[in-house]
Amino acid sequence: MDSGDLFFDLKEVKDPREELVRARVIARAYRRMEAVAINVGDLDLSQGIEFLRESAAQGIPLISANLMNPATKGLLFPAFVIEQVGKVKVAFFGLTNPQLPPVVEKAVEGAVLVKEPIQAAKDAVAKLQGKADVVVLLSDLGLAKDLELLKVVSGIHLVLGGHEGQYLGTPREEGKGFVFQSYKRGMCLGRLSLTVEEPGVPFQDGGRYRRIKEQISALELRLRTLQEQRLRQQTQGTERLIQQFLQEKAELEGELKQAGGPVSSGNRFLWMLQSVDPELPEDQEVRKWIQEAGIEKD
Amino acid sequence: MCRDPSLWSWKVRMCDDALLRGGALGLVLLVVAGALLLAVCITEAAFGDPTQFVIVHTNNVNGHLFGCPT
Repeated sequence: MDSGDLFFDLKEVKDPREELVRARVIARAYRRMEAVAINVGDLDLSQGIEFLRESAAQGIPLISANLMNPATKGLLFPAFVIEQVGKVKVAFFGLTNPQLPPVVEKAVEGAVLVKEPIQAAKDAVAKLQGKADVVVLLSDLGLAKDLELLKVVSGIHLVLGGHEGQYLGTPREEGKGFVFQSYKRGMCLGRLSLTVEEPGVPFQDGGRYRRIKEQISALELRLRTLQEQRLRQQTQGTERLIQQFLQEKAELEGELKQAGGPVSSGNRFLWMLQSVDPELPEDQEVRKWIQEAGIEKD
Repeated sequence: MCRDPSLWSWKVRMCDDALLRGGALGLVLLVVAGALLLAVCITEAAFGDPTQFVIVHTNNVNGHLFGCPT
């Protein structure tokens, strides 16, 4: 699953031909990984629409519920895909960021119209009603917009977001949904483990209780160090920090009490960001493609 | 959901026998059996066979090949 801005980078300007070669290798690798859905991000349009059309024709599951042909007003790619997992139907729909950078705007001039995302989301969710048990948005809107969207569009359970590429170790909750991001530049993979017991019902964060406990332990460790430091030499700075940590600890203990205990029933998830360690074994086939394409691994 | 028809037939048979043997006791047993069945159904509906799966997610890869040092 990818939320967008997969293929190109505007910050590092390279030879456009070389960029396309890299993008094709990435597309092939995602197909090899059997990606279920790839949302079109604004930067994915920076080489025009042809590369994306070509990729879609080759079986790359590109989606976007708001990327339209300005002439026909029809969608350029499917709005969503529905994946059957056991007894559960999971829908993934995509949203492209409508604020295209000038370079991208120029690359797709006249070929693309990006519809206002909130209305597009409402339309997509309405179409998915009765067809899916879990609705996941792959979003290229950015965290603030994703949270805003969750406030006004009901029926979205989970938002796998992106655009700014934040390291979100703790998912952000808004209304009945959660937003996740998996950092940037292929440095991390987000791993979202889902347990579905009641189709259609919102999810609970199954990792919250443990996370709060870990945060309390970390604070206690820092407090112990500061208290030892205070015994040796008392300074205003140390005292201020101790008071601050004590307050944070009290707040966390309140949250822990409110959480009650680990979530063990109902729809729940566990979220984890996993570093892509260079020590991990490489896929030999993809490695061969990279070598054949003559591009340097980064 | 009650997926096991044998459970139904066994409970119903038990209740039928009890009803045949005699009035009030049979009725009580029927109610108890009905309540038991209902409880089984509700429990199964709420907590029946969870489906578990993992979504692996990326964003903002920006043309980088995986393996970039973190």
